[in-house]
Amino acid sequence: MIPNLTKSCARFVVMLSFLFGSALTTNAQRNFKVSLFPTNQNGVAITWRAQSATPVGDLFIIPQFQVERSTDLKTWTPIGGLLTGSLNQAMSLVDSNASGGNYRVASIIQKEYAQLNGVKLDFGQLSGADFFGASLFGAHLAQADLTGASFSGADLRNADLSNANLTGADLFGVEALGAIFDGGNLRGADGGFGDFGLASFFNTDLGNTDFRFSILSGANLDFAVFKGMILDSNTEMDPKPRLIWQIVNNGAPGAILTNKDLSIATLTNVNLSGAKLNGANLNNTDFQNADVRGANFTGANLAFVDFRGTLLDGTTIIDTKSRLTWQILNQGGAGLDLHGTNLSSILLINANLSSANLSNANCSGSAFLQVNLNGANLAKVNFTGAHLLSTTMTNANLTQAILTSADLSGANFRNAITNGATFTGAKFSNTIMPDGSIRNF
Amino acid sequence: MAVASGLYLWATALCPGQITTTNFFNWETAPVHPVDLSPDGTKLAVCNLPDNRLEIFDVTSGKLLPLGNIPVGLDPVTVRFRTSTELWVANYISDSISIVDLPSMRVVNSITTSNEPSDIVFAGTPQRAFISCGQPNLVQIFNTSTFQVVTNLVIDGNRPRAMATSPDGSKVYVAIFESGNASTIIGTGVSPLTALPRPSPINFPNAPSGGQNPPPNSGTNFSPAISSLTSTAAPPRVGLIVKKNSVGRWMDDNLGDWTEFIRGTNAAFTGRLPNWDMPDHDLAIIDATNFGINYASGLMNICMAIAVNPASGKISVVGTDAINNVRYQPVLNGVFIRVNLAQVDPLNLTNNILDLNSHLSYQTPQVSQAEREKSIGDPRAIVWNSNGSRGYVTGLGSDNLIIIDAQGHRTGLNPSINLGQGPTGLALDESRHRLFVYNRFVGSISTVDTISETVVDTLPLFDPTPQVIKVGRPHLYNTHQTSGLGQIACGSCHVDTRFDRLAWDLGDQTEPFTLINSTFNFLSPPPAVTNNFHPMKGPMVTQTLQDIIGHEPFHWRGDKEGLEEFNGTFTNLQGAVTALTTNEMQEFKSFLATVRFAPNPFRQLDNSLSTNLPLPGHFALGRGTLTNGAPLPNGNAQSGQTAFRLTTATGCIICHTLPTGVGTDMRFNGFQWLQLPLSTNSSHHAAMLQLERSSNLPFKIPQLRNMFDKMGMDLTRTTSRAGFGFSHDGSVDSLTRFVQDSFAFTNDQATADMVAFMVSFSGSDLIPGSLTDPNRSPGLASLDTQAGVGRQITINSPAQVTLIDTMVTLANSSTSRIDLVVKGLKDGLSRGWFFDRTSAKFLSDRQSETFTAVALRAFASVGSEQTYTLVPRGTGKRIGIDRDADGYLDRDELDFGSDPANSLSLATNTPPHLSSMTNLMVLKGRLLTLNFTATDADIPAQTLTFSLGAPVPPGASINSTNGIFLWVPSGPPGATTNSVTIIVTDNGTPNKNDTKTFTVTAVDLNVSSFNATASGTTLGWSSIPGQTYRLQYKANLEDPVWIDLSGDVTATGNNASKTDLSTGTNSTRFYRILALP
Repeated sequence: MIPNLTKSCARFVVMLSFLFGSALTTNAQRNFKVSLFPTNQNGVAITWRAQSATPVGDLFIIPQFQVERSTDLKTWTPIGGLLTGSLNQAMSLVDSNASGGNYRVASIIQKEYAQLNGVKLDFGQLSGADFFGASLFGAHLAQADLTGASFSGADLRNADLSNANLTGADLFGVEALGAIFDGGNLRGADGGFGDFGLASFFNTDLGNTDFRFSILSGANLDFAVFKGMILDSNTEMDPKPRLIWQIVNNGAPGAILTNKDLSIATLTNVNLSGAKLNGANLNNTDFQNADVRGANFTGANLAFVDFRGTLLDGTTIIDTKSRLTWQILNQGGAGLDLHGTNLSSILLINANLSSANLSNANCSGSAFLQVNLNGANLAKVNFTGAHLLSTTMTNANLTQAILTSADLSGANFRNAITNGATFTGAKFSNTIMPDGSIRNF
Repeated sequence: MAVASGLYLWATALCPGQITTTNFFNWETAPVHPVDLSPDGTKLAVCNLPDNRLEIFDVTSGKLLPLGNIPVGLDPVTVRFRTSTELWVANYISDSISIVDLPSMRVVNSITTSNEPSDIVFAGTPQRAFISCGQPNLVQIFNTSTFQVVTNLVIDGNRPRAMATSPDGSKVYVAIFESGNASTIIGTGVSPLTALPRPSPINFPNAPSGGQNPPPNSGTNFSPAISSLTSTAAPPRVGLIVKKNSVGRWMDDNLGDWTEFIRGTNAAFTGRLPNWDMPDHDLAIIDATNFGINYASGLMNICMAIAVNPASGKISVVGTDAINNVRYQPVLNGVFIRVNLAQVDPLNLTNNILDLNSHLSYQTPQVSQAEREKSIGDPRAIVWNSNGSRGYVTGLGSDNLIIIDAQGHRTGLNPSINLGQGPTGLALDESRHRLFVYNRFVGSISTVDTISETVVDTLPLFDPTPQVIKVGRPHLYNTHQTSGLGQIACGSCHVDTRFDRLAWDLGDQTEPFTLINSTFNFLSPPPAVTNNFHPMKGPMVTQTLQDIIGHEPFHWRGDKEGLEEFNGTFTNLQGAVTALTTNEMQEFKSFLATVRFAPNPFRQLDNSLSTNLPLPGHFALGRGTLTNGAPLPNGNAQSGQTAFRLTTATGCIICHTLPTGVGTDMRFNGFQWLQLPLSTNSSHHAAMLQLERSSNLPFKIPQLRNMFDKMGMDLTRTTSRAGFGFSHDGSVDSLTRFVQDSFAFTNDQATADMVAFMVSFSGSDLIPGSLTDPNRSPGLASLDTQAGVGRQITINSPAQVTLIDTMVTLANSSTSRIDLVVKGLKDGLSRGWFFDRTSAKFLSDRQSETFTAVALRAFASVGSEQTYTLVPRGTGKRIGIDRDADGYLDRDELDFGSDPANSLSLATNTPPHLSSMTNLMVLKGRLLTLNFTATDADIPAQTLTFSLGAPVPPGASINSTNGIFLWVPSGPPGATTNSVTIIVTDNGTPNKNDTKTFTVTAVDLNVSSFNATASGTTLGWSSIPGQTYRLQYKANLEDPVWIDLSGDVTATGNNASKTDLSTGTNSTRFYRILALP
């Protein structure tokens, strides 16, 4: 169970790091300011500064520029040819035939067949860039803006495109074996005839991505968003994600999915009403807003399932712990008396358990992410190995609570009572202690 | 049977005078220019390739008069007269040039060259020697006085080989043997072991194939149609061969234009760069002064021989051209090779290409035997007469000679002139109307009268090639016997048992699946039934036939259990009328079992792996610290072997056993590896594998000993020497890419180390597997050669030489697989020596004469040079001191007068043998004539003399020359018995004789009985059994004529009788008895 839980948490952590990283990457400047000055021959001088589309520390990519003029803001006419500049070079072009009009400067990145193996382009502002046929083996393109970029026929093997935005990108015939697209966005991209074998699409938005005749065998598609993803009979894909894709895109009301492995899948908004999920492996599966009314989960592995917004009712056959988890998430748990309850290996995100009584409850191994436990009775609660990330336990009673090996990153214990509590092996990172101090170790 | 067979083999192995594959190594080397006429027109020099000698003949009489021979290096392939007294000989295995002084018939120097020296020409001012070296694609230029290298020219083509010069000597022309034909592959390269092949552009909807894979080959259909037996399963998606046409478009065999995917905007999808091209260099033109190089292209894919028409100055190249861009065996049957003559204008490099088999229409796979006999196949030599009006071309495979006119059209009195097997070299003696041809496979020289266009003489050379090779060779090479049109043989693609550096799609959609059953040894679980061997298998590169026997199964897919399963190829692909018989197939197999890999040029002299091996031609892919296209650093092949043997994901040893690379022939039972039993026809079960990257199709784990032979394709640049590279379809252009794409190597040094090991693979002496190591099975043995084999040095002083010391050390090692021989002059005589490990001394070619290394070297001087040569272990004694392996050493034989090049000619005198004789009974008075014969096994033939031993019967005599015995017996009445002794004596040293004695009983002819009755008269007489008698009579003694009584009597015993029934009554008759002659 631990590995899957780790992935679940990783998805969360990645989101944080994206935000954190974004704050640091201000040097990639695809956008630039254009100035217009009239000349004394009835012309117009258009000036701007050439800057790298990638931040400092990356390979500099200075776009080429094309000045265009329009009188109606609809039809644009190129003025002169493509201009190439060096880093920070002041660029200018004089339109001597100006007779009034509007100007714009297109920033064009043309890297067809470029040799860019292993280069660092992280955080690059590379939207619309043309990397057709380029060699980008092992390149670093994490968090790059690659919207509408072309990688058709390119070699992206082992490249790192984590959290990159590839919305609408052209990946036709790309070689992306072993590439990492984790957390990224390929929505609407054309991945037809691409080789994505052994690639990683963990938590990647593949909505409306065209993967016809592509290879996705061995790819990690955990938590990938399959809604709208286009496959055909020639798409090579492992059976498990193929089944998930079918469920996501075709729905599965009443489907017999007995003993199927649907773990670590994003089944949000899926209609599984009346489905037979007896004995299925649903570990870490995301059922947000899914309809599981009438579904039968007898014997299913429901550890760490995300039940937020899940449509679940009395006709759903499900174990008590899972139903309670669903209840906490969707109906609130403030003040609930859960003492001695088994809440191990569950996933609670943004749940409210303030003032609840969890004394002697077994919460070992569970993931409580941003859960509100303010004022809760946590005496003798068992949080062994639990992940209490950014969980609020202010004013809580943790007398003799067991937090052995728990991950307390971002947790807040201010004013909590921890007499006799056990923290052996616990992880503290930006953890606010009862006295208000912050602990990191 | 097994015991009897074993005994037979044992007896064969120990039989003196036998040359077997134990003391003769077969590399199946092809001659290049093995015959040359001296500038003064008086001498002919011939490379006797298997005998490692240069044979010299006087030709002034129009008939070959042997003048002697000179030992040179291993596998001499080319001889050229530099002057009328100095010859240069290229030794293909020795990687050396022997400089021969003709007047003294001795090697005066040996020049070490790069690998595979093939041809030599002299050109330029000052004169330089240009030497083509095949494997490294070099032409080395030497100073002809100092013998030092002037420079090395890299030829942009694979295996530069045959050479010629322009009439003015200002240009050197080099035919590129494996030049390719501007065909290449659209494939998917290689993926990691656990990944699937990348999608192929053949599947793109907008591709010329329309997305259909495999594409139809005839419009929208397959021709012939796909069999209903296989249509139940879709054929596998495969690669596609395309070929550049005359206007530069890359076309498939269905008029699909793939140019955009090969060199256009979509080149990336085939792994290429825009403007990618194959220059298809067939002919290099070197300026002999400034060494600039130009190339002619578009001639053919195997450029075999070259000559210059003296009149037109045009460069003539003969060879073969493959139509490998055409798919499927039924379509290619019998027609897939053309034998062409290309005539190239040296000024503008334009060419005119003619099919030398113009009598063929190629509309059917077979023609009549008579038409087939006209064909020429595997052309290996061409020569023009001085006015350029006639050219002569030999067919190594067709065993014939054809004559062409100035334009290249066939001419002559006959369609072709039959020669001995394997005609290769040509030398024209115009003044005497003689054309000399070296027949490589039969080991002879044919003399052709150019007026009558007939063979007027055939002179056999001493050829130590074992019979097993000679008998089996025709099944590989002979185009008349093994093809329907007479121009094709197995050797057309498996050139010289190697390959043509091309891929072919030899699928046969009319055939059913080959079912996968338990006889196939899969390293991993065998594939599902749906993945049986589909007959539409897609393009596969031609594989070498070197050392394949014993490494079954065959083909890339391993779908052929043994060689026997290829028998259908003769009729189904080569168009032959019949396949091989069982015996012929065994002959073919036995021959192939002798073909071994040559010394590895990347290993050290002691066969060890280099730790610092330069890797020219190998480039980084930009995945490590080196940029894309940068040369790889020197590689450490030993580190490469270590990496190869890892059992992790980057290792290779789990599949590829050492020392061959083929999969294991064993199965692990949980405790140890156990040998799998041989199957039908003694086939092995080298392991097969199904991998994700091969779409779960099964493949045999291939051997890895000829990796360096496959270099040349290049997808990282815009020009490529070859169209096919590594992997089954040749779609992986370089070893670097194979290593990095397959096994996730990115470190440049680690890649270089692995590449260094790959190119050093052949040669054995690698770390063996273990019976108890589940990941490193023992491997099948490799028929290859120690890397130092052939290495030569010639010295002319007794000074110590480090290389010779090393050679002696190697020869003295029990494990080096090396023998050391020395050839040279001592006391004015041509001598040989062989290093004997037992005594650690050199044995000479005289019995009981030995020298230490120092003592032997002491004989070396100017005029008495010594040439040291490393040879394969087991061959040294034969090559060094007993040329014919008859047990009588060479000098002893010469001293004695016997022939050291004839295992039947011994340095001892064998007695003659008289024909048998029996005792005789004869009539007295009648001449007895007997003709005695005798034989003598000694070679050269001796003179035999007949005589009579005492006591000689009175009057008896015998002709001393022809053995005719004459005698008229006589004596008193009654039988007399006479003893006669015949003696035949040879003139050997000492004289030997044979004696036989018999008795002659001389008898009288007497009437022994007479009985007259009314019914007839009966006479009886003493007779000699077998003698025929006639009874005659007359009524009156005065009658002039004796009348024969009808019915002669042949005696069956010592008495005979005859009854006269015609006497009547009261008559008188006189009788006499005649003994008929």
